Amino acid sequence: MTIRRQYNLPNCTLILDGLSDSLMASPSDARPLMSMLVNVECRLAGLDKPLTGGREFLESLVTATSRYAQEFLSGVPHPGDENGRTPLVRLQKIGGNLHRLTVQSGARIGESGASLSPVQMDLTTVQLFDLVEAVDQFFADTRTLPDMSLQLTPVSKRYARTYEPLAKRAVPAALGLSSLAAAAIAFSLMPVPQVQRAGEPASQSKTESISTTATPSPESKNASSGSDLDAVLASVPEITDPLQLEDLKSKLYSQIDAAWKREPPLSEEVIYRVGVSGDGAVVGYKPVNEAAINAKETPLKDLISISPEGGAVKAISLAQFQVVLTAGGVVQVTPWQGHSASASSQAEINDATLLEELQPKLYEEIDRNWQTRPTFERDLVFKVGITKDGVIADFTPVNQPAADYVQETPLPSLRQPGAAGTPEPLAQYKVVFTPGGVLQVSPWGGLR
Amino acid sequence: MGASQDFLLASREKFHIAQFSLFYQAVSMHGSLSVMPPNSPTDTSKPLILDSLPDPQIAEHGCPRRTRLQIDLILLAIEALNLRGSEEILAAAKELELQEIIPNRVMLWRLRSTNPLRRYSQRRPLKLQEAKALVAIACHLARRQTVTVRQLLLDYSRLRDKQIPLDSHLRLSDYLERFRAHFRSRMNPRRAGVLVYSTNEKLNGLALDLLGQLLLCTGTRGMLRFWIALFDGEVL
Repeated sequence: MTIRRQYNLPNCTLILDGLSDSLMASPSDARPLMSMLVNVECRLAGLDKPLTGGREFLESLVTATSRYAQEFLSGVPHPGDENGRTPLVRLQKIGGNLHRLTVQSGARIGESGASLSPVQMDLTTVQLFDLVEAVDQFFADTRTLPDMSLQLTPVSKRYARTYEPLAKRAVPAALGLSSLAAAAIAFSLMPVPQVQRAGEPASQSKTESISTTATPSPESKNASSGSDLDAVLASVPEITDPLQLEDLKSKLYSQIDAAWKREPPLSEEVIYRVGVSGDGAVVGYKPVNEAAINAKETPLKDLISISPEGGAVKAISLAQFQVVLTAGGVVQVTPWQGHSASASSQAEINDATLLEELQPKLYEEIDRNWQTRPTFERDLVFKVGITKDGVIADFTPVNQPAADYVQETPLPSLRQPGAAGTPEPLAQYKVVFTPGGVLQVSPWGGLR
Repeated sequence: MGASQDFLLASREKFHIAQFSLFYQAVSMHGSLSVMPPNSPTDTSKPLILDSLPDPQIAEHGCPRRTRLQIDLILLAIEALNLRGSEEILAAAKELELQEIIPNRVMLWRLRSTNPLRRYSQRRPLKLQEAKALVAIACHLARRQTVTVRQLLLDYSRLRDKQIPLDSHLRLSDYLERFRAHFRSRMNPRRAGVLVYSTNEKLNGLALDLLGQLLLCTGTRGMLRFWIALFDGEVL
């Protein structure tokens, strides 16, 4: 006995012809069970001939429709067929409110048998809905092919990651990033430490310790843009008023404290350098320690704001803070020590030759005076400013261990504060003390 | 349509809301979705409508960022469609017996403000149960507006084909205007996710996308489809 099931929507009619294999089926049965499909016909308004086919076509049609509906709702593309075959039926977004339906030649088109060319049709959202609804009514019909059921699962995170750049939601992210770029540059693209061991014979063991202690620097590719950094830093007025700093500090603290879910708990403390505009908005942040670089989640991400004009960083005054999130769930906010007027307002020596000349001098001076055995377990990173005569005029701890163990370094005793007061331009270097006893000195702005 | 007759024949007594029985059975009969059993005996009074939505395998507590954002936006679109939108959301919570989850306006506001783009974004998690309640309400209200949503989308297609500006269509421009006003008054303009909608054109685009999503929500399996899609790219 032939059974026909028809699902009617204004723009789409799905007709299934099939058979019942049940011996129990009798003509008196109002709705006998259709367990075998003979033919399926899908009529779409605007398409001259109906799409027809067998079981394979029906399966492909309902799968493509179902997956595309999900993609339409979430904006996340569906991974598609596992076996890599081109499905008989495909749906793709083609901008605006149009959805392209493509049916491969495997499906029979019309009455005349196999068609050689694929059929293509652009559906409006309303037409798409009618197709989805016809499919859903078929799925919901328990008396028609009950072995076919709707399988809905969210797309896995693993898959969505690799497709992120194509996803619709990546567009806002990218725009946000570009307008943040200026702020990001302000957060000092630290160059890879340039190891200088002038006058010292290179021993095998030292080379090893260097390679293991070198800062993993995701920004290393940007080291060449170090010259831009100085320009941006110079163009952003820094907030130095202690009262305002105190106010911004408490604002930042409460923002982070509220935003931080503390779930899952941190295995070790993470340290960030955070830039805050005059009204307390977080404009950018930069991981300072390795744990922060590796951290997948940070409450700071949600707090990032950009100026309505689209990241006109020049117009914003900046205050910088060190933010430490401890493993115990405590937020610590302290003003970014010493990254003060002295460093940013003072003219800098940018002459590459001079920088190259001064570098070994600085290395030697620090190395000669560094006599103690390190008790710290992580690299101490400092920003050190010296005059053209090689006098250390100013230094700033860049990471938390540097601030904690500054007394183990010769820097406090070497500094001649008088030199910082003079309008003399300074050459800025990045100085790293490693737990293995290795000293690294490199120009702060990277090598030009 | 014969298909729906079968549903009604098989309908179970425990459904208070006839409108939704269609959903539930569609889901449960095929058994393709594992509906989680109640966590503890205490929540036996849990609204049945929420049982039709499976618990996704998400790692963190509470719903992911995009889920929270999307739920709030779809409700925003409903409010833009209907002047009495926010009252209707509360009324729908009552009709669907979701008062335990959404007892009043303040709670509704708190749940919706888990949207990270809100001006007064709440730093509280959105529980799955709460998200389900909001989705059930959104789909319930979307169904009521089916005719309007469908007509607006049809008219939009026609206007676009003839390249007539959307402003000339009273109903559509009303919707778009209200949506833009709601969005701008409630979202934090400093967030990157809001900044990308800085122009009228971009906000109109978002409003029209949401209109299409609302239409899909009205379908036989609309609520389930909308719910599952909320977790695309978020599950393990």
